[in-house]
Amino acid sequence: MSKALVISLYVLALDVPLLLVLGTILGWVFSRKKFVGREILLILVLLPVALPPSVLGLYLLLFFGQVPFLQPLGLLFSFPGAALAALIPSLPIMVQASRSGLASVPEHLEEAARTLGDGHWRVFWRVSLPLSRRSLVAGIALAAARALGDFGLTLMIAGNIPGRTQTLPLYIYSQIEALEFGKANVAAVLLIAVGIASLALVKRMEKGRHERLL
Amino acid sequence: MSAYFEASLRHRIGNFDLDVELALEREIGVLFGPSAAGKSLTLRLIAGLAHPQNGTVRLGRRLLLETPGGPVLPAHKRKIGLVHQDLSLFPHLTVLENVAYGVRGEKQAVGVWVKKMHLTGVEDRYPHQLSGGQQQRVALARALAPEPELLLLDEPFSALDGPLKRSLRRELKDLQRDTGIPVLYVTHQIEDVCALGSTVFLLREGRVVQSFPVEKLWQAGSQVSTWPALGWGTLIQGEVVRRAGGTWLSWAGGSLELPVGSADEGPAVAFVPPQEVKVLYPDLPVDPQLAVNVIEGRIVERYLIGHTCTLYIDAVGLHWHIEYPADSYTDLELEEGGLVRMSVRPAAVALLKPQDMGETGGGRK
Amino acid sequence: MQLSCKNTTGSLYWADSVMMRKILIPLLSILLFFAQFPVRSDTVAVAGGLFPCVSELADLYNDRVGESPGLVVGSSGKLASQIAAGAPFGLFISANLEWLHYLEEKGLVGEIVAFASSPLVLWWSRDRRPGPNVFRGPVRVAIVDPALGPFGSTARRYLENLETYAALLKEKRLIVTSTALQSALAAKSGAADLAFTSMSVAKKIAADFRSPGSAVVIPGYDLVHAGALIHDRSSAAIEAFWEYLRSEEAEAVWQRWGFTLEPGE
Repeated sequence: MSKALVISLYVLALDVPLLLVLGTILGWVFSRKKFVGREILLILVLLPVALPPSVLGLYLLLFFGQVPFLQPLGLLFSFPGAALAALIPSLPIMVQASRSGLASVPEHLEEAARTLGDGHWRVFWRVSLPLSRRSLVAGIALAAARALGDFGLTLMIAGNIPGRTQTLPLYIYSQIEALEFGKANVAAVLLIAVGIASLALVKRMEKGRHERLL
Repeated sequence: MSAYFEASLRHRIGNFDLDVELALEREIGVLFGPSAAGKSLTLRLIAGLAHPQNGTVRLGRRLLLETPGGPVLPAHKRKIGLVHQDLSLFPHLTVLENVAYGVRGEKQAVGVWVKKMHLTGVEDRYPHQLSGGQQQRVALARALAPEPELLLLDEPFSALDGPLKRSLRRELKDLQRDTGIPVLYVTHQIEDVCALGSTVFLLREGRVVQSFPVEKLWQAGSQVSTWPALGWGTLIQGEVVRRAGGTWLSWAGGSLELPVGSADEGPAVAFVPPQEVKVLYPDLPVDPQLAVNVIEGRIVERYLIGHTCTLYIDAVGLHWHIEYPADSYTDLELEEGGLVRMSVRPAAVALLKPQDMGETGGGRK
Repeated sequence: MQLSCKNTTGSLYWADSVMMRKILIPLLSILLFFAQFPVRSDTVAVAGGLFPCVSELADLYNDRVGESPGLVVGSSGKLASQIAAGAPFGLFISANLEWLHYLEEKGLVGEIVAFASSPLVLWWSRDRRPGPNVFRGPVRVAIVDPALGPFGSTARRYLENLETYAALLKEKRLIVTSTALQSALAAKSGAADLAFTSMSVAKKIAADFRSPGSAVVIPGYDLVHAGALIHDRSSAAIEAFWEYLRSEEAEAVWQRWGFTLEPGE
């Protein structure tokens, strides 16, 4: 059980920063920029939410297995694969949250920042990001929870290999298959505890210096 | 000789055509006109928040914009300060942080500005904790602290009450004199024109129909040629007199009562906004406020655009311009050539006097 | 005038907080430094129904030899697809001969050895055993999806031979689940009255839950379990484990779980 716990924690430690950075940047791109192929890219990013995990897993299995230059990446049946599997269905959640959060920042504030000498990146960093903090925090909380609890996709592309890719949810599944309900229950409680701890951590980070915005 | 700041902008959005030429020295220029005339759009184009289809913007020796074909400097490189109507103060930053926002490197200037704008003591407050006047000052300080080469103001004081507005206008004039930064001030209120500007640009439906030094408003006879060109509101040159216990504006063709004690005797110019003139129904009782200034005249021109009906009326020696919603006065069957009775509340007559102007900022010499 | 122009660049204030600086960053660095996930090349893929027994055998083997291969559990189809996609499994054990043959056709596995059998079990939560006429009544029956593998298809064959399958289907009294465990739980929870399940599951429920119910073995409908080593991914350790699973020492454990070890194909 401890190995599964460690693996789940590592997946979280790797994926949460990735979700934050990638999800926020993608959210900003989709909220403000218009470019060719935008709608298609948006659909691609959001697709994992709509597809059943087994289906998604099967296609990814084939994709990574058959496409020649992706094979040596060693993404299948490995820890990076488990991290990727947890990231894919959680990313849409983060992108949606950051997209709506960033879009709700009044444009005239961003324009004011531009007249005060800030280029687009500085405006994003100094105005858009702080003002959409609530949405981003809510988004990362939800996305992290999703990453922690991922099952079907991880099972398919990373496998259920104890000590390597068996996360806590997969461990619970294995214990049930082994008819070891006692162990499964303990692991389930552990999973819930990790989930609550992450939420509490996120909540702590949300309490910045400024309690009242807008 | 070319002016310090020059802008020539041509831009089309849907049915709206903007074609504007502006030139400004180190002074306050007032861009005056009714709403939807294109004033805010002009500011946005100058600031670089939008790009015109055709245009040139030159500030000092720098060419900020030339399309097609030339450079297009993005907003953050233009060194143009902009104060928007809603002030756009950053709600997540304190007063001090707001003011310091555009200042790179040396932060000493920030303290100077806090003092100059009388914000000492509230530096650590957040915008929502400030009064209206304080917020205005923060917005001004923030725009000026980075030492821009041009300041654009989009009706910044419109939401404030009289005394506060007047004091802020005075402060703005002082600031402009101190810093020497050219200021372009957009407004639809006539009092701002006289109180602030040294050069007036009249903007109507996307075009600068007139531009002149503000002193011309007082010169006898000039307004007759100037104001109808704008086609908006009614400008009256006359004299304030006291009689029968009341205060009146009097001119060759007639007189209007003003609020009691509102002005000292002497030459004056007054402006009546087109929405403030009310047409009177012949047989209905008249609102007491409107009873004093009843005027009779003849409709010279009438037309309807969208939801607004416009009337030009010759009365009491003046050419009146009034506007009202299209669904008003439908029973009256107002037609060109017909007679009409109208009135204006004493308080709605915006009185402007040379004394109001104080010193005109900067000036072209 | 002394100015404290802190954060006038508006940096992310939460990055300033003590939490971040003193705790999280060092923690993350330490974690990342020690991140070592041993690459195990010896893993055995076991399809669901066999897993409880093989797990126990693996523990015993571990006690005896000092180390045993890791076990991966899953449904036969998923495991086979993963093997075809390159999963690092050295041995595949399953009741689903179709999937084993699928891998054989792809040339991925060696000899398929049928080594054990287990009976089809009918279970319900009452104390008396279900009699042969039980299907006549308005009972709901839980079976594993016949399309998923031999468990479900064998149960279906039995019901068809009894000429009740069609009726059950038509009257919507057939509860289709995905594993033998699920079928039993369906019957236990009341969603179904009877369940076709495995001996392992029936025994487990008897041991763990307060109302053990009762089960009856359906003679003549045994399932066959087989395994095959996967080319280039097995090792001496795995082969030794495979031998152990089929040895006499393991026989007692198999029996306890309801399996009969059988030699030959």
